Amino acid sequence: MIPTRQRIATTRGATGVCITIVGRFDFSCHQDFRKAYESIGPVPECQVDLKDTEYIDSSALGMLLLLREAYPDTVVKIQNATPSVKKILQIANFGSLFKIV
Amino acid sequence: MIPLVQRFPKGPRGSGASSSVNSSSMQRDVDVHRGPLDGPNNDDAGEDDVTTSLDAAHAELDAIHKQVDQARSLLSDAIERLSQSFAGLDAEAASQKRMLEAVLSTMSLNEGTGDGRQRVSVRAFASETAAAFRLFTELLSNVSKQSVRTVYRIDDMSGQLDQVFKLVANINEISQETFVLAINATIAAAHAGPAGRSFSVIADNVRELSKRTRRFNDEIGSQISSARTAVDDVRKIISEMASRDLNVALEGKERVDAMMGGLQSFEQVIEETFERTKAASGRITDCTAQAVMGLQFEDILSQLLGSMDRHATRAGAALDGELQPGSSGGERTAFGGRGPSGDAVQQRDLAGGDVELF
Repeated sequence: MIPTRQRIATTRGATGVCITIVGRFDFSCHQDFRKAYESIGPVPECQVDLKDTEYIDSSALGMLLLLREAYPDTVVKIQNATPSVKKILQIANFGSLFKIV
Repeated sequence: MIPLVQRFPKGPRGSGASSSVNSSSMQRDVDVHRGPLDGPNNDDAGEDDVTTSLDAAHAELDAIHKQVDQARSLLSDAIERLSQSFAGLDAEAASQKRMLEAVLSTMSLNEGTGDGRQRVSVRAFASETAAAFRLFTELLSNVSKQSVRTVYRIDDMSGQLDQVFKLVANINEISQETFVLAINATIAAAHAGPAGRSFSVIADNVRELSKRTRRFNDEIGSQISSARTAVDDVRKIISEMASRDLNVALEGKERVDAMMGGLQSFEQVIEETFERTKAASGRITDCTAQAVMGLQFEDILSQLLGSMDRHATRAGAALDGELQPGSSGGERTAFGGRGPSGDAVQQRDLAGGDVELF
């Protein structure tokens, strides 16, 4: 396996955890994303920062749903999404499961 | 008494009228009785001159009778045609209005109707389409979720297979060491001479065992390897299933949204145009009613023409000196001092009338 550049970073803050995804949020991220969300544990709030996410596909939506299912009591906030990414989240009705800001 | 005098001289009026009158019933001969002339202007006239003048006057009067009849006939024909035409116009306007109402009620924005039918509405269609897109994308993201979850499981399984590979490698190492040990035992047995013969047989058996272990191990290894290839294939297929480009859905949604926007404004324009057309139909009906009311002038004109006819008749009689003033019941005479314009019809305009339409 050729090691890929680190595209997913996890930072811990006072209120919770922030997962930042850079570049394409697609299937190639699945292992990194798994590591990220399995490491955070149950926290009150988890932010997913899509500020530098230029593209998402359906597997990204699937991964976000897995994160949602892994921690039913955690508030998952998707923030700073670009307009096109935000549209996709809206079409998928993610507003009812996540806090999109 | 003078005998009948045939009329219709070639006067400019008489000939003009007769050329356009095709009905023989309109032509009539009039008896003219010549009486003593006591008018002040006839003092110096000779008898022949008087006769000629009277004939000319009668001819003019006959032409008037004829033209009045013609005017009546033309007027009644025209009025009948106009009435029919207006009635048709009114009926057409009413049917146009009904049709527009039918179309409008079909295009109504009410989503459900009393009769249980679902009416076509762009707004309903737009929300249905939006719901379908949402359902589709939700379904897609759920499929992706399950696929990613499955890939995670497969990754776990691959890890376990790696462990098995490591174990198989360990067993291989052990069998290799056993093999070397057996060789060493054989050598040691040879050094021991006849006393070591039985050890040599045991060492050979151990070497065979290690060889069999190795063969089994290799077989396990190849089985696991093909299992791993199969798992990798499955992983690839599921990965592809998980990764769907959503831009197609996004672009589709945007196209549908734009189309819906266009349709909605189109629907609005249609609705407004229908309302305006409906109002215009109503105005046509009103105008037709007004026009039909206007057609009452036929009555008035008929009366005027009748009056003209009577005046002309009396004028003829007066010429012959046979008409006694006031002799025709309550009718005024043309020469009774009130003049020919003693109106038979007082109405000067049509606004005073009212009429029931059709």
